[in-house]
Amino acid sequence: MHLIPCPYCGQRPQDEFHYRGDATVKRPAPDAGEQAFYDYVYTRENPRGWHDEWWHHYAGCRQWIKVRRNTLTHAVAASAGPADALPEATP
Amino acid sequence: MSAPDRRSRFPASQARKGGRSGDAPLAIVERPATLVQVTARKGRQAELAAAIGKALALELPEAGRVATAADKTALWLQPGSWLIEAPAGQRRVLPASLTQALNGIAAVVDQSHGRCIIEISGAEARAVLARLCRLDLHERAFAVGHSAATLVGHVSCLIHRADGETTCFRLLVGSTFAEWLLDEITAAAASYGWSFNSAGEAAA
Repeated sequence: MHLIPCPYCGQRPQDEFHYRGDATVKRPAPDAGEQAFYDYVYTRENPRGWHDEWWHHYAGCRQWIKVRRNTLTHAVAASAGPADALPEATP
Repeated sequence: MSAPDRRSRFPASQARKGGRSGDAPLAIVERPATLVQVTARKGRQAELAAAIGKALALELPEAGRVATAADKTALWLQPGSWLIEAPAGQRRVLPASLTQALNGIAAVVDQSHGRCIIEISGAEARAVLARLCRLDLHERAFAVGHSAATLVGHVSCLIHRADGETTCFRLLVGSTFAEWLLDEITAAAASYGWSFNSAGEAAA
């Protein structure tokens, strides 16, 4: 069982969550141009290692949370609420 | 005349029992209640806590906790949102009075019809729940006053431990999932034996 630390509920099994994609992409300015918006919507990194992701705790507090997960080992280093920043440094 | 939404969520279910007859059967009881969800408007959580304290003499609990005062209970749902539980008789009064008291501070939604409370008690209640729920519900980790929104039998539930001599867990589940959850619980309790009383027959 893979546990994800929800910042509100504590350690919870992964089947209470939905994966909601890359948490590092930022919406470009309205006048940033078509290519910037294409990248924002479609272009994603596929990192091997630490990655900041959105997870939705749909069966618990129903919040979207940010989780720093290692895509290689599934280890989770940190999690934070939707408006909070994950710590700068990765272990 | 009772309000139509105070009917049992198990209209076809008579009081019944099943499973093996043993020394410690599981008692499953549906509890009628008034349930009101209050959600703080942006940045007004402190005002909400103060207003609830004034209106109901109830302290809103922190995440994962339950607070009780007199005949009312507040259950944490999610950041900024709580469920207020009161006796079934307050169904007509409480939502209206809260709407008035929290005008502009919080969204008030009557959930009496939307949720169902299933109480399960007995010496083996925790063993039965262990077959349905992944959380550690031992007293060490999940004491009286703790609550958790989690999956029980693949259904979203708010679960908390009730105060009392016998082990008793209370599950708040969406009304339309109640029948399914009862089937799951009775199947999980078959080896201990169980009895079920719907709200109609339940002792107050």
